[in-house]
Amino acid sequence: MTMEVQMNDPVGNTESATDDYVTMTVGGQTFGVPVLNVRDVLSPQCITRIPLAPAEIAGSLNLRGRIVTAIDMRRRLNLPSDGFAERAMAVVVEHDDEPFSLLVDEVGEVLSLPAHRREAVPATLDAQWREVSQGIYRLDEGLLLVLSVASVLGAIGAVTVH
Amino acid sequence: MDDLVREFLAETCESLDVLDSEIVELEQRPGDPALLGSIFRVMHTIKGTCGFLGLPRLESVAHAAEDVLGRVRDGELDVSQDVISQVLAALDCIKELVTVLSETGSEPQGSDDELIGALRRIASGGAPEAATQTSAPVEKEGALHERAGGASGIDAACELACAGFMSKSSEGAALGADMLKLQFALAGGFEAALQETPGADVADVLTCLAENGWNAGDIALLKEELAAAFRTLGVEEDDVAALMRLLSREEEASPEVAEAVPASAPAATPEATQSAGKPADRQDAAGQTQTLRVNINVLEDLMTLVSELVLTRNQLLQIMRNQDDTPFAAPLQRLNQVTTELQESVMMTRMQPIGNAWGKLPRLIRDLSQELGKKIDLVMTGADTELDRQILESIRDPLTHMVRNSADHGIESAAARLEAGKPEHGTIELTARHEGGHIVVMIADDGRGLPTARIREKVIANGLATETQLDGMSEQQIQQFIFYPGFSTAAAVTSVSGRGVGMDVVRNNIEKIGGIIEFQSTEGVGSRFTIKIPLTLAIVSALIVECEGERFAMPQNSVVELVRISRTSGKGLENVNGRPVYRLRDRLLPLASLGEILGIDGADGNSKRADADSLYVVVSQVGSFVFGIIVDKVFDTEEIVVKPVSRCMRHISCFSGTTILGDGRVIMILDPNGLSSAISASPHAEAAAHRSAGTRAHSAREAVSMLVFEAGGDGPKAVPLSLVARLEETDIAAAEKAGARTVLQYRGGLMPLIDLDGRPAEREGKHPILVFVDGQRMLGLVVDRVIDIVEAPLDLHLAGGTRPGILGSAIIAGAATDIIDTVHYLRLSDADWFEVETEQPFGADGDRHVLLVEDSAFFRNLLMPMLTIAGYAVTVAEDGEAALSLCQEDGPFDVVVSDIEMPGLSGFELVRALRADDRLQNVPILALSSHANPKDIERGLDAGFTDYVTKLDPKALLDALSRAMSAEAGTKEIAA
Repeated sequence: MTMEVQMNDPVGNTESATDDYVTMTVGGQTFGVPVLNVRDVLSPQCITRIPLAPAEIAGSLNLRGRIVTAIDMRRRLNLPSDGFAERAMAVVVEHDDEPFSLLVDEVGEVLSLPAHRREAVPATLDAQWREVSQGIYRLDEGLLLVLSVASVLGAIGAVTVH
Repeated sequence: MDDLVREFLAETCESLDVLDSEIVELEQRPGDPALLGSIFRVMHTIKGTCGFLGLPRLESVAHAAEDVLGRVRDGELDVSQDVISQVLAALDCIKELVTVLSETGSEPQGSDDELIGALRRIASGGAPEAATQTSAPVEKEGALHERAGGASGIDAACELACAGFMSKSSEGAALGADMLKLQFALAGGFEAALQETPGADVADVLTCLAENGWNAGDIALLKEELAAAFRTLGVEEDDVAALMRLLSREEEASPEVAEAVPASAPAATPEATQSAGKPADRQDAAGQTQTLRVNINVLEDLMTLVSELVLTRNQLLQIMRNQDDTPFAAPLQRLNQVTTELQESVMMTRMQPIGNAWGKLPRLIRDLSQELGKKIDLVMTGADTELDRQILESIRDPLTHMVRNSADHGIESAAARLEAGKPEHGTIELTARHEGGHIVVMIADDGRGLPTARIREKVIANGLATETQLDGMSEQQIQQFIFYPGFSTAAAVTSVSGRGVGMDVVRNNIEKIGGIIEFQSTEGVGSRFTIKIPLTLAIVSALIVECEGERFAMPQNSVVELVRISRTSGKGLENVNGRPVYRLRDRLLPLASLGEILGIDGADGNSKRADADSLYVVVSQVGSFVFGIIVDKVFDTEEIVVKPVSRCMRHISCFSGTTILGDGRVIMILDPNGLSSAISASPHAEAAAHRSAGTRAHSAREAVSMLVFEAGGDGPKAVPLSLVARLEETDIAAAEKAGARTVLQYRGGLMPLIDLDGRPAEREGKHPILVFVDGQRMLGLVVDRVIDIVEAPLDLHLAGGTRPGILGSAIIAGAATDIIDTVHYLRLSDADWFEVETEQPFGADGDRHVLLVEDSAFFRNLLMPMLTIAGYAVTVAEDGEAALSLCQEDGPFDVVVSDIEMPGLSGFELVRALRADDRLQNVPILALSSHANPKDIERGLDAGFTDYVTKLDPKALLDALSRAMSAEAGTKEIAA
C-alpha cells in the first residue's frame, strides 16, 4: 500500500493501514504531524519578531533564502511561552504554498501507527486544543494528539488584530 | 479548451490590441501602405485561423472587415471616417467574441448580419461594380501576379491548399497551428518570387520544409494542392503551370517572373513595401522564430530564484570581507559578477515597453473626440521606454483615467478653442522617459487648465477648508484639492468622467507603487501631470534602521532626509500635548516614534535605548504629508529583494514586504503609506493633521504672532507681538533711579524699567527690553533673553490667577508658554496709565455691563481681565448664537463687544440680528477684529457696529468703550 493512499484515507478502516507521524512535544504533551506534511526540522533559529502580528506568530526566519513564518505552538495552545521562541525546535510545514514553521519543545522520532487505532478527541478538551487536533492515539508512553496543520494555520490567517 | 484555440486566443488578443491603435493611426495616415498591409494581414490571419478552427461567427466578421480593408489597400476605397468606424466596430465585435470564446471555449450564439451588412455596403460603396476579391475577374493582360489574383488571391490559394493538405496528408493533422505559419510562408514565398520582394522565395520555403524532415510525398502533395487551389480560384491553366514552375529551384525562372518585375514597380503594392520594411517577419514565417512565448509564472519563479541567488551572494561577500587571505576570493569575485549579470538579464525579461499600457489610448481619444465633438490629437513619445510589468499593470488604469480627464475636462470644444486664439485641434501629449532609476511619465494638454475659482467654490462647499484658509494658499495649493476623495469639478456628469471617482484613486495607485504624482496647471493654457515611478518593485534600495533592537528596512525613495538629534540637549525637539514635534528649519515636523507605532515600546525596550546618546529622525514624505519617524539607529542603505509578507500578516498596513539582509537576517520592510496613516489615525495626530493641506474648517484657529522670551525662570513667556512697540537691548547700568523707580532716558523721554516680578529693574549688564508705548508714555520690561517670534494658532489652556501678570499658558511651538498680562505691568509701572481713561465718567463705576463675544479663548482670556480691571462688569459669550440669546433673555447690556470672524453666526450677522430687536436697537456694539483696514471698518459700520477696534490694542478698546458709553448716556439724557 502506498503512502499516498494512506494520506487520502487518513481514517483508513483497513486493518493493515498505517499512518506515519513526526512526533513532537509541546509543554509536555506529545503531538504528531503527518510525515508528508513536514518539510524540514530545524534546530533553534534566529527569529525576527514581527510587531503588530498576531500573538501566535513568533516571527520570521530564514530557511535557505525562503522566509518562513514561525508559529509559537505554546502560545497557540494557550501555554506559557516566555523566552520559548529562542530555544524552540522548528518543524517546517507547507500550507497553501506558503512555508510555516511550528515552534515546539522537542522533536522526536517518526512513528508508524495503525490508522484504525486512532480515536476521536475527547469532548472535554479545551476548545483551542480540540480545534487543532484531528484525533488521538493511546501509546504505551502516553497519548499522542494528531495535529491538523491546516487548523493550526487557518485560524491564524483569519485572526485579525487591532 | 483545445490547445489550438488557446494558442489562437493568445495570439489574437495580442494582435487585436495592436490593431486598435493601428486603425486609428490609419485614419491619420491613410496613404501608408505599410500600415495598411499590417492591418490587413492581422485581419486576414484572424479570418484564416477562425475558418480553420471552425469559428464561423468570427470568421465571417473578420472576412467582411478584411474585404473592406482589401478594397482600401487596392485603392478602390478611400479611408473615410465611416470606413474606420465600421472597421473598428468589426474589431469590437471580434473582441467580444474572443472574450466569450476565452471564457467558455466556444463562440456565443447570435448573428452579426447587421455588422456584416454594413461592412459589405461600405466595401461595395467605393466601387459598386466590383465583386469580392476572390471572385474578381482575372485580367489576362496583367502580370502573372495580377492574374494569380494579386496578393489576396495568392493568400487565399495558399490557405486553401494548406487546408486541403491537412485533410489529406497523414502528417497534416499533427502540424496543427504550424500550418498557419506554412500558409504565410508559402504566400510570402510566392510574393517574393513574383514581385521580387526580399525574403525567402517559394522554392526556398519548400527546400526548408524538406530540410525540416518533410518527406518528398508530402511536398508533392502540397504542390498538387496549391495547383488545385489556384484552379479553384479561377486562375487559368497556363498561369497555374507558371506558378507551379516557381516551386522548383532547378527550373529557370519563367519569363512570367521577369515580366512581373516592371509591373510591380509602379504598382508598389503595400504587401511589397511591408515586406521590404520588415524582412524579419518573413523569417518568422519560415519557422525560424526569434521570440519565445514563456509563461509568466516561469518568469516569476526565475526572478525569485535569482533574488535568492543575489541574497546568497551578498551573504558570501559579507563573510569574505572578514577573511583576509582565502582561495575563495577569485571564484567568488566571478560568482559576484555572473550573479549581477544574471540578475540584470532576468530583470530584462520582466521589462515591457510602456507603450503596452498606451495601446488603447489612441482609440479612446478617437472615440472621445467623436462623442464630445472635440478635435483632439494624441501625441505619444517614448512608448518604447521599458519598465517592470508589475508596475506597468498598476499604472495602466491611472494613465487611462488621466488621459480621459484631459480629453473631457481639459481640451475645449473646437469653437471655444478658436475663440481663445488656440489651434482648433487640442493636443494631449504623453511622454515617457528614464530618469535615474525612475520612469517619468508626463501627460500634458493645451486645454483650459484647472479652474481655480471653481475648485475654491467646491472646496468651501465640501467643507474641506474655509475661505480664510484658502486666501492664504497659493493657486497651486488650491489645485491640490483635486486629489481629495470625491472631488470633481466637472459641471455635468458626462459618460466620460465627472463621476467623482477621480484623482484621489489615481494618486493612491501611483503612491502604492512608490511613485509620485505632481502637476502644474495654468488656467487657459493647459495642465501637465508628471508621474515618477520606480523602474522595478522587485529590488529596491532601502535604508536599514533600528528601533528597540529590531531592524527594519525603509524604502529609500520615501526618505527625504535624516536628522540626528542629541539626546542630552534634545535641541529642537519639543512636545505638543505629549506628541513630539521637531523644528526642522522653517517648518514644524510632526514626529512619531517607530517603536510606538509598532507597539514595541515596552518597558524593557526603554532600557535598550537609554544608553544611546542620540536618536535619529527619518524624514519621510507621502504625498504632501511630511513627517518624521524616530528611530534609535540608522545603518547604511542596502539593495533588498522585496518578498511578500506572509498571508497571515498582510493586514498589518505598516509593512509592505519582508526581505533577507546580507547577514541572513529576516527583516520587515516598512510601508511609508501605512506609517503615515498610522500616525494620522492616532487620536493625538491633531498636530499632524493640522499641517496637511486643507485643514478641516472646525479646527482652524486664528494665528497670532507671539514674541517668545525668557524672564524670571519658569519656562518661556510670550506676549502678542502687536502689543510690543520695540525691542531694545541696553545696559541696565545706564538706567537711573528716580524715586523707587528705575528709569531710562529713551527717545527724549523717561521710560520706567521693570522686571517680570513687577519690581523696578535692578541688574547689571546688557539685557533685552520689550518696549510698550502709549502716546507719550513708555514702559520697558526687562527680560533675560528673546527666543523667537512665532506665528501660531493658540489657545490659552490655564486661566491665570495663580500669579499676577500671567494671563495663562498656551502651547507655542511645542512648549508650554506663559502669556504675560501686559495690562498688569502697565498698571504697575504707571498707575495713571489706565486711570486717565477710567476717570472718565462712564467707565469704572462697576455697574456698566459689557457683553464680550469672542470665540477664541485666547482673546477672551486676554480681554476679560483687562475689562474687569478697567472697572466693567463682563459677561462672556463664546459665539454669536450664545450672545444673541444672552441679549434677548438677560436684557440689554450697556455695551456689546463682538468679534467678527466666528464659527456659526458671524459678527456681522449678530449685529444685524441685534439691531432688528427694538430693545437692542441703540445698544452700542463694538466690532473687534484682528485686521482692521479702512474697508473693513467701513463694512463694519455699515452693518450697524458703533465702532471698530483691533483686538490687540487694549487701549483703543477702552477708549472706544468709554466713547460709546458717554455717547449712549448722552442720547439717554437727551431722550429723558
